[in-house]
Amino acid sequence: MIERHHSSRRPSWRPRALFVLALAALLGSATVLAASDETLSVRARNGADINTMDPAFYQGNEEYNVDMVLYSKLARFAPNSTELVLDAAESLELSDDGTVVEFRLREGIQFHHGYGEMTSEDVKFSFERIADPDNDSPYASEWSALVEVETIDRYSGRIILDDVYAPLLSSSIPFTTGSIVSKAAFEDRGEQFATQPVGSGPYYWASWEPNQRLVLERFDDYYGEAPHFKTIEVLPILDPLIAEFSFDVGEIDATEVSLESVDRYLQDDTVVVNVLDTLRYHWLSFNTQAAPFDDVRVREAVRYAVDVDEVLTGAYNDVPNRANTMLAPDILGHWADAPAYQPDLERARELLAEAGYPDGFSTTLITDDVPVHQQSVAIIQQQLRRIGIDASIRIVQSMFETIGQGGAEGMHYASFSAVLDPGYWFEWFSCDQIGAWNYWQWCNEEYDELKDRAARTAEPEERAAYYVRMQQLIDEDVAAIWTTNGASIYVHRAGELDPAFVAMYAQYMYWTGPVD
Amino acid sequence: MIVYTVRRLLTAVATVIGAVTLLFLIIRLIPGDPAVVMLGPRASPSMIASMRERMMLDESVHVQLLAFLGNVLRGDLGRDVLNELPVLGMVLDVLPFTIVLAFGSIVLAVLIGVPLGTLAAAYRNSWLDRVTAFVSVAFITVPPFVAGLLLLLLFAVELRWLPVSGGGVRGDVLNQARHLILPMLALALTWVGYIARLIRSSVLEEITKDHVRTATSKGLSPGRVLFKHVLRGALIPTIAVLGVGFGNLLGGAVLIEIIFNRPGLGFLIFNAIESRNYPVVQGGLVVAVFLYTLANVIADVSYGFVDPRIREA
Repeated sequence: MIERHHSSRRPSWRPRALFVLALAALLGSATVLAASDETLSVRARNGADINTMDPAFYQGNEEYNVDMVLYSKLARFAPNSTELVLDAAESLELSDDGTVVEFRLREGIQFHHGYGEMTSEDVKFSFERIADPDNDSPYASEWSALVEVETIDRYSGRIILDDVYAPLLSSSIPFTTGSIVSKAAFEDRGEQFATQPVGSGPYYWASWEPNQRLVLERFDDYYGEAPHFKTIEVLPILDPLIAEFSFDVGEIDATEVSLESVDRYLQDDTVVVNVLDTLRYHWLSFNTQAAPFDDVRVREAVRYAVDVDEVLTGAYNDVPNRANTMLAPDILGHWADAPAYQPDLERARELLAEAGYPDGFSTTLITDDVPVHQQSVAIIQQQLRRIGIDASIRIVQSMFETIGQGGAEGMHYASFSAVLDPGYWFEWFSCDQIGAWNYWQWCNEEYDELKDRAARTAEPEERAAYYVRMQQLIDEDVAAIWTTNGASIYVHRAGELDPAFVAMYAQYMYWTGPVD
Repeated sequence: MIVYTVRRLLTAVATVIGAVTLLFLIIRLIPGDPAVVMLGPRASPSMIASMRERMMLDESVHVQLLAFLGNVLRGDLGRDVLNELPVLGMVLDVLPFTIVLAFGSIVLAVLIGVPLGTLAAAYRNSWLDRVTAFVSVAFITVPPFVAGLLLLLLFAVELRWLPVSGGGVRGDVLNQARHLILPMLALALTWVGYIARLIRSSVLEEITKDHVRTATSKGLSPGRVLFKHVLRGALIPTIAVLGVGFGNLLGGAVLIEIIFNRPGLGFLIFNAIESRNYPVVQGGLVVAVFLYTLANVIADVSYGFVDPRIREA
């Protein structure tokens, strides 16, 4: 059995109209949990350990997962969804012009470790600290439109923006940049805050032994529903195979597993396999400013020669879904009607001949040291031979470091990670990224204009339309051949766990124990 | 003996400085800008510049090296650039795991290897000698990580007698001991083979010597001759090998720690290399080099104690 958890329906707020999220209705419906004394033991995603729990400087996914149970936000994601429910705020209101968010905190929210009650000062401190350019947070762009957080009284405040910032309610507030830290604890603990964090979420930071285990304990003074598990133990197991062995013998309750192991678990009736769409796109790109790929007919010929389904079978074990466009299906602006191109070698040869390459040509196919990318290029190399393109494979350690600045001739296969808000996905295809991340050197003025317009549009439908058009521009110009958004595979024992995820991130606070 | 020891210590200091310098330079050859790798795609040029400044990457290599060596001499191994934890504390936190693993493995190797080699020598050219030779060579040729995986599959995954991964629960000695058995065994096997072969040939060489023939002719029991006169001499080369062996075990421990997801110095360094966390890599390597050299010094000095010819040379 495969449970497919897709990342969400569209955010439910109604911009431009005044909106208030009602506390009781939304929080009450989030989930029903029965607290227990059990310990949930999970493998850290990707095997990585925590580096820092300062929300301004997170390094990876496991920090995001822990963040979601450690810190409160004004609003957070509902279980298995990117729909928003109120969290620390009892009301959250966006102004008509989309530049002011007024919030009121619940009274009596306590920070962990006796750091007192949360106030609007803590919200101001948390958001402005990330936005402050002097602090060099890699996430400062999430608050790039922030002018200030104005405190009205002990519990109320206003988030004032200099312009509409569309990702505010889909990313900045409910995800890690919206984490509210204790100002008093931060000032008290200084540098140690990164490894001794203080939040107000359902679990507090009990102990951390680097590279060994992180223990999170249920916070008895938490203002919301008590989560099911008393303790969460996060183990950074580096090797996926060892994590799978640990799961097999019952040392851990849930783990992410490799693509290669999916079949084994699918045959085991006692195991539930969750295939989650990842926030990523895998694709084949071309240097669009150098021959022969500066001719769109050559790029189109390649598109007709590449059999994406064959790549997914050979390299990805047929686990992730095929992607026909950049945005994953549940992300706002996904182009649902994007064409699924099928191989047509005759047409491919015709296009090559029209472009002046009737006998094909030799080129380079560059990828990085990610095994699934390498397997993909090996298959694509064979497919291209069918139309006379002889591509020699070149493996580099990092696409960005090796070819980013100078661009590179030939073709490239890679995958880029993204976030819950669609804006970030499109960032790297803009003209100003040439010389940095846009190593395929594709530049389209209409695309850039739409990107800027979308970032200043709060209305989801209008914004989605811009993003669909941008994906169409990429498709028309054959700037990319998409293969998949990838998959993150979690396993757990049937009847022992009921996990929840938002996109590919674990929402441990909603995980429950033995189920009927 | 004092002169010998002092001379050996001075050589050791020079070795540590030379090795640390070499490793420091090799780390700089790892492809990729560490600041870019650490900060990821969201990093702005100013952030990258700031991180480079914190890591002293804009300074010339010799300035970085001198600053690093100066700090090491003051006992400061720097701070983790991601979370500001002192590297020395991080290393000391995991070091006991590695030392227990390496030391336990060497003890285990001696406890199994010495009797095995002695038996093989005592029953030279018998079926026992041939079986011992086969087993020893098999142990030597199987790399520790292969042995580790096989042991893990058999005893942890199939039989479920022992845990798959981790270092055990802090403060629970029994639990930690259970987590130690498989990694220790995997690491010890190669050295069981080495020691058994070495002891066998040393014993065979020793029994032809005059003092052993004298002891035998005096009417001492074969067991007494073996343990009091033969083994004492036969152990000398083994002690020397153990010094080097301890260092090699530290190296082997890296892979074993990764396979068994066991905390330790190797695991710490490996993770730090993955994220280009230079201060942690450098700090971990300094301690590893120091331990390796220390083990060799102890072996050399103890060798000098046992064999007067060494200290007088």
